[in-house]
Amino acid sequence: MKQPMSYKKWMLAGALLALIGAFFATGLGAMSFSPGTVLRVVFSRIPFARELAQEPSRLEFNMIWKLRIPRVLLGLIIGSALGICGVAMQALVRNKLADPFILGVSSGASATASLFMVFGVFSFFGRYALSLSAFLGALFSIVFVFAMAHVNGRISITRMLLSGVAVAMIMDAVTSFVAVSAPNAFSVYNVSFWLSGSLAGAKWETLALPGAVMLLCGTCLMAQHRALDVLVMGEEAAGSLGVSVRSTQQALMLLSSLLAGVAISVSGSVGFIGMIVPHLSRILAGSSHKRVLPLSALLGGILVVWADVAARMIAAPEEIPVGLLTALIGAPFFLVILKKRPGERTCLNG
Amino acid sequence: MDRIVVERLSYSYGARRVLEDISLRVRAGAFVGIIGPNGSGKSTILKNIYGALTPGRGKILLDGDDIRTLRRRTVAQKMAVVGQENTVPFRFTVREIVSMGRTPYKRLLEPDTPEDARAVDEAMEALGVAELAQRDFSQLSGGEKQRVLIARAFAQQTDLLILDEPTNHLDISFQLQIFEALAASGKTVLAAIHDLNLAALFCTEIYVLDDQSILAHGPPEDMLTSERIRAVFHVVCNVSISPFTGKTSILYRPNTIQTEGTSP
Repeated sequence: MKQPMSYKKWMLAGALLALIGAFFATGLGAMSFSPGTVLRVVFSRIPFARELAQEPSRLEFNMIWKLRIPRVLLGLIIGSALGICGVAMQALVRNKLADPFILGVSSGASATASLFMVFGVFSFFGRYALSLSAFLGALFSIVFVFAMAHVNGRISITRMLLSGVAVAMIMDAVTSFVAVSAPNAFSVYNVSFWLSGSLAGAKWETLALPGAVMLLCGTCLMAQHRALDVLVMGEEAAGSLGVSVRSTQQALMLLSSLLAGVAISVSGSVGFIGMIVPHLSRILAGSSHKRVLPLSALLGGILVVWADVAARMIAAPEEIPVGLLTALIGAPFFLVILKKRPGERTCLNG
Repeated sequence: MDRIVVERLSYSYGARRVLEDISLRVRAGAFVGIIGPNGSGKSTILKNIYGALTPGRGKILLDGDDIRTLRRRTVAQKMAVVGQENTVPFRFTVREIVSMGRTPYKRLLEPDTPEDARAVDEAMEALGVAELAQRDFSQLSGGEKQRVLIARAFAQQTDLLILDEPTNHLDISFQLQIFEALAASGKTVLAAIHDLNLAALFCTEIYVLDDQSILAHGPPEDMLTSERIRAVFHVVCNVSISPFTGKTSILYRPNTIQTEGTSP
């Protein structure tokens, strides 16, 4: 009875904390700025607040307004998108180990995106061609891995992980091949960007599409939260509870490849967020998707923003790709979950 | 009134024929048991009825309508199912699991209503799992899990229930508890049952399945005869009306026990 209340309060507190955190994160990096400076820059853009604070310098304005703030916002968006993408993929395959990175979805998106960058494949999509080509690669990978893992209405974990590995290897090879054969066609988008992710390319213009996709897909998933819960109980159970299993699975594949594809087209593959974040959310709030989805969006945003701060600061003035950092945390996490898989016993009689 | 009618159903897994020309009917208010040896196709019949498998040949009617023409949601509002699989890979509380029984009544984004909460409470009461409400489902014992899944089916508030060996692997106390709850609910029940004595105690009608087809059907006392049990299950037994329960009671005699004079 009292649980929903406290969950809402926690979510509000968490969202507030995330915003405050994002504010402080903005100042941190190879070149650090005090919170006061960040505040001055923000105020200088608000019509009536402008008079309250001292005008920031040109450098401060350019660094904070044009680079840092979009970068932090992009971190929030990408983190949320990857977090809920992980939730959707895990509901689809009924397994905590699913993640766009682990199942080769990121690699698929990177490969088609880099193909587009170099050869202009899919350029008839126009302005959103990069994101769309990444989406198609993601969709291809997820459909392939799901078809491989899906045997008689069940998901074979071994087949799922192995086909994910195979897809990732093929797709990463494509990405590397493309990069080697056309080394000068990449600018910001070099091969390490696709393989290990970075938020360094963030601009205000790059925020709209991933933001919109994240909100749209998040809403679609939230509208289906009951179907997701029920799908986790197994396909037979879901069907007998009135859920149309096939179309829910198709929707999940579509939504997760949209989320992963769009995220990857602006940030490269930031791995393991989609696995760590839903797992933490379930520990904090239980597995009901009504709670897991918003919480994962929140935690994903926080995690990526701070991982990116670390990426900017650890080896300053050089930058470490943020995807390397998340893999450094994520891979051991993956092994821990793989080792203790509770409730995997199946009982079957004829 | 017939709730479920199966007409001349045949089903194969690939080239292997599992069901041949099965016909059965479940009248409103009946407690129908399907008995038969392992692999005789009990589960396959039920899976065809609840849509986990698509019939190869034949027809299945739910309240007179061909079940394949009905929407999943409509079927789920009329018929609840407890299958054999009970793995839940994520951490759900018992109450969350039972609440899933309300899914067929929910529109997109519709929140839980007091009516849902009441249905869930009643279902948990009926199966005696109310005190487990906040426990993690995956940590429960087999008997508790099974009662929770039946409570989920009760929360669906259908008056028709399909159960696939609902008391498999359970202690005798849980077996009785579950069958008592089913009988007390007054719902129409179609269940695959492996324990013949339980079938005798609770069923109003029994279908005997052997070698892919229905061998016979009728009230338990006519179906559970020592001759038939020997023919179908290949065991020697003694069948009597127990003075203790007033119901058919079956005693098995293994080959290791040799007695003189008693007729099998």
